[in-house]
Amino acid sequence: MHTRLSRTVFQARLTATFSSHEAIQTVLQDSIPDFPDPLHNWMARLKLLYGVPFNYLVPDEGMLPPESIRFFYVDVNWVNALLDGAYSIGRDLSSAENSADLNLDRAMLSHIHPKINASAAAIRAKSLGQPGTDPPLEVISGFLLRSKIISEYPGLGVYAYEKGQTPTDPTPVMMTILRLEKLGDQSDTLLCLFVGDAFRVDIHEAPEHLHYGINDYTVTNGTITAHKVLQSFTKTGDNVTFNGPITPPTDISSCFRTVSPRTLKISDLAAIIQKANNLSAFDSAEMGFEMTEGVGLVSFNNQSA
Amino acid sequence: MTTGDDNKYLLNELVTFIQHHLPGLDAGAYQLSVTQTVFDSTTNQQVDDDTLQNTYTFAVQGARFALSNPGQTVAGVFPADGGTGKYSMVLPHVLFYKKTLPWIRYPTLKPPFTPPLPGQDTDADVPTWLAVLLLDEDDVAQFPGLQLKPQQVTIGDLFQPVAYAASTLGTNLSYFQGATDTSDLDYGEQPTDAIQAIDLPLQLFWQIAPTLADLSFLAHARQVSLINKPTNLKAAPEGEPTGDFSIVFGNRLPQTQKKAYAYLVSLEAMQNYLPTDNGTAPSGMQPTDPRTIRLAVLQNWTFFSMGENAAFTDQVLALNGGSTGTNANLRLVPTTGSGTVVTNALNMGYVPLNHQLRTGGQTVSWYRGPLVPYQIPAARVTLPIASPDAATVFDPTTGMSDTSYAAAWTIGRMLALQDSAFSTALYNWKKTVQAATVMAVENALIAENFADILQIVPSTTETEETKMSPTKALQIKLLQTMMQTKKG
Repeated sequence: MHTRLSRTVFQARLTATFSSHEAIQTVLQDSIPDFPDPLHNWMARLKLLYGVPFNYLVPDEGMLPPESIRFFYVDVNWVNALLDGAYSIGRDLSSAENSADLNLDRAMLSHIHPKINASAAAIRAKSLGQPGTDPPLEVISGFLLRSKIISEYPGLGVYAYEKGQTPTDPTPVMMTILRLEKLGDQSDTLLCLFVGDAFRVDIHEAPEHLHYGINDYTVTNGTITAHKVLQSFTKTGDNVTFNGPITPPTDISSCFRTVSPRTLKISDLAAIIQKANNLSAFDSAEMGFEMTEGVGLVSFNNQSA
Repeated sequence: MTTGDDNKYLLNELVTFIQHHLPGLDAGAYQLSVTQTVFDSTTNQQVDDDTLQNTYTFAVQGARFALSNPGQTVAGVFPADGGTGKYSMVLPHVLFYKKTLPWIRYPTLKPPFTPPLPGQDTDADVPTWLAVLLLDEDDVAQFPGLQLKPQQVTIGDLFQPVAYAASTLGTNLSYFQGATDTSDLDYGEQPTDAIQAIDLPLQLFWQIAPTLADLSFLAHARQVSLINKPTNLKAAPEGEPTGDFSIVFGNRLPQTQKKAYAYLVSLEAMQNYLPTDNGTAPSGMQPTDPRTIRLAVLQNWTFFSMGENAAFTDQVLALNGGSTGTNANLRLVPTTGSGTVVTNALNMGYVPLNHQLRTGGQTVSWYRGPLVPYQIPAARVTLPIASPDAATVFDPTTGMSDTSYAAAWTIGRMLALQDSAFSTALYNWKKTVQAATVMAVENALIAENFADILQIVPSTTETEETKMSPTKALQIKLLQTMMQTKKG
């Protein structure tokens, strides 16, 4: 057999392949070298705007004045341009549209972007010890909150719902949070990103900052009148089912010391609560639970949709 | 005490209230001694006359008169230090990251419960040794001489002069009543260690301090899900979705329109001095006792209760000037009278910025970040690009450019260059992709041209998974052919 294979044929083939990204993709097919984990984790963090200077996100302070909350969508084009800028390392920046480097990068786009998306969704899940989901990241919405609330209530919680979902559904579906954090230790700005189009955003006080108190307390001519709204509940094992508040509010006027009218007699109060709820056992957990004052929750609804 | 199953249902809830988290070992000095006797296995006689023994002393240290690291221990106080608000119905509390802190010591003289077996818990009421006391200026008026600011003293000042000569306690009461020396101090405590303390007149103490029975109700623990909360590594280690906190709350309501002073004090072993239910002297003590009691202050803060609402909901509702409906998007609001172009651009989220051109000129261009007021359908810019200029949008009618995507590309490139580990790794990966492409083209070319030769592929040298590359097959075939020609 006298098959001649000159170098020119090979060279021509190479040039042809590198001048079209479809050709590169066809040629490589299953043998694409794996996009390493550290690389797509780094780019995933960039996709969630970690490391982007704040003045690129909010170019003018008038857009986010103190004590304000602003909702937004994330422009995927901007984020893709950002990722492409990072990915352009090693690219020959000639103006030729069909340069080999550009075509290689084009061919690899469809390979790297799913991995970057999966890593982006997994960042927050991993830090919470949760299994990561792999939601499609086409629409990302969120809000920026600039207020002293951030420093006063560091553990505030956020729930977001899509159109048609409410927290009172039998199984409420809350949107996945991609990023929820202060932009720095001393910062007064909170950035939150959700997967999807947030229609309703609930911001509530930190559950661990629930506080204790009573509902009213007045002293007229030396007589104290005080009330506390108690929640009635039934316990089965470790589960608690609410039966709604006990109306009218329970009178606790007798639970104050005569020598010090603002000091509570905690044991007497415990006895009153135990009686009002018909509990057989009463310890500090039930006491803490009943004495808790509710946590505030504010809901922001999208009016335009 | 939750099992793995409980964790799953915890994550759907907001908070779980727990009676107590008892520490495994109380604070103190321990001596562990291990003895072993060795027996001969055949005769069952003790081999050695001396029993083998080793003693090991260790100490468990816990907060006693001061918190060694308040930043790591205290998660927060309520009402906030220096806070102003409608706090007249509120009982102040302290929240700790350490879930066992309120139960590492006892206000009783002896441990108040039978220690449960290892791995089990007890339902007994365990009183806490911490209490939150609240004072204000009216108390100073009633008890002149009361100092509301905690004093800087040393641990030695908690002893009577007969036990520690340099003590300033005099005849007043404190933790080590009746001690004749400083041997009651825990391992690692020195009489010269600095702490903060407050001297309360006994009558005032009896009026406001909780009783021993109260102390069983004033502390509990909470387990909170962290899923929907900002990342905070102090609440739980990385990878934990729930955080454990313990809380101690007070028993006295603040006065309106008066500055309130709250103190987290230790009541360790103070069983005999705690008041009765109605705030009067305990049995064995004179109601008119003129002495003061010195309590160690672990944390103190002040707040002011007034009529205005500063609750969380009110503060959130007051955002955006109280009218979130009118301006909830991230954009600059155009002033009335602006031209159409400017109004439209500002409403779309653009901001005009000074632009220094590469050629040396200066102009004004539009810029918009990634956070925009409306949903933009994808694919407005074709990527990848070779230069930021390819992503700059120029509007000939206004003569201004939109540099948003160009700026994004540039900052992305700069961030990548800044991280040399990333940029080197990316470059190397791209080189391997290029090498793989060249290899693939070569293999394809060989496969096409030498297809007939490559029909015969040695089967002993390959496994199921490895496919022999056409180059290798060609080499082997060439060798075989050469050897055949040699023979023949």
